[in-house]
Amino acid sequence: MTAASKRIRVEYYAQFREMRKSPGEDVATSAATAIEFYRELDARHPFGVTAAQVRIALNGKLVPWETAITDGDTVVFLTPFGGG
Amino acid sequence: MNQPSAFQLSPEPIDTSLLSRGLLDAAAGAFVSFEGRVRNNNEGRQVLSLEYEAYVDMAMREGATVIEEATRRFDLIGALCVHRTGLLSIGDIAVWIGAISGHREEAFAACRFIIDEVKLRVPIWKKEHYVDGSTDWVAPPSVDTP
Repeated sequence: MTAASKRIRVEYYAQFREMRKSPGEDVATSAATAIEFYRELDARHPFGVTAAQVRIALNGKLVPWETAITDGDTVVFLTPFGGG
Repeated sequence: MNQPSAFQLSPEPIDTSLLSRGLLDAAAGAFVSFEGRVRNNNEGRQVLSLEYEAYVDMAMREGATVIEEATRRFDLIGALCVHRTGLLSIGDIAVWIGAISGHREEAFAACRFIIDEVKLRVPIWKKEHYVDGSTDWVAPPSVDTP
């Protein structure tokens, strides 16, 4: 497995789902960390929101942007919650 | 009372009397509930309806953790929280919380704790539909993203 062949599942919700017009996608990436991955996706198709407005869940858990991502991970970008 | 995972997401209208009956216990001297309802205005805009969307896996886990924390912290006999998903109309119940305890102080405090933590920690998003035909994803202004 080379770094470039890492595959990440991205699920989109709310604003991200609408911006991407998709509930999710599998992405091949060489990004080492969550923030690198976000910037890579954003460069490909701009999300319209900066990482400063967003948090990230890795395999269902909130993690810092500097967290390493590994093959098979599921990533969700979280805009501020509006429940309640 | 031995309550299993007590956080639920519901695409259907919330049946409060059914949920209340799930919180009957002979040792409970207090039952306190909170209903969050859809109101017809937000920040000066006339709201027609709204949608809730959840990241279900994480929401269920975080919601269950909030209930567990509340149960320990306030020595509850039981607690339940149900949050709606999907399209809601004005007046609909968006979220229902019930807590039972030996005495009232704990149940009151637990309801407040649960709603505050759910708003902060459970990945649910709200899209408002306005009378003028526009829509917007909204979050409380107090929400701070690190």
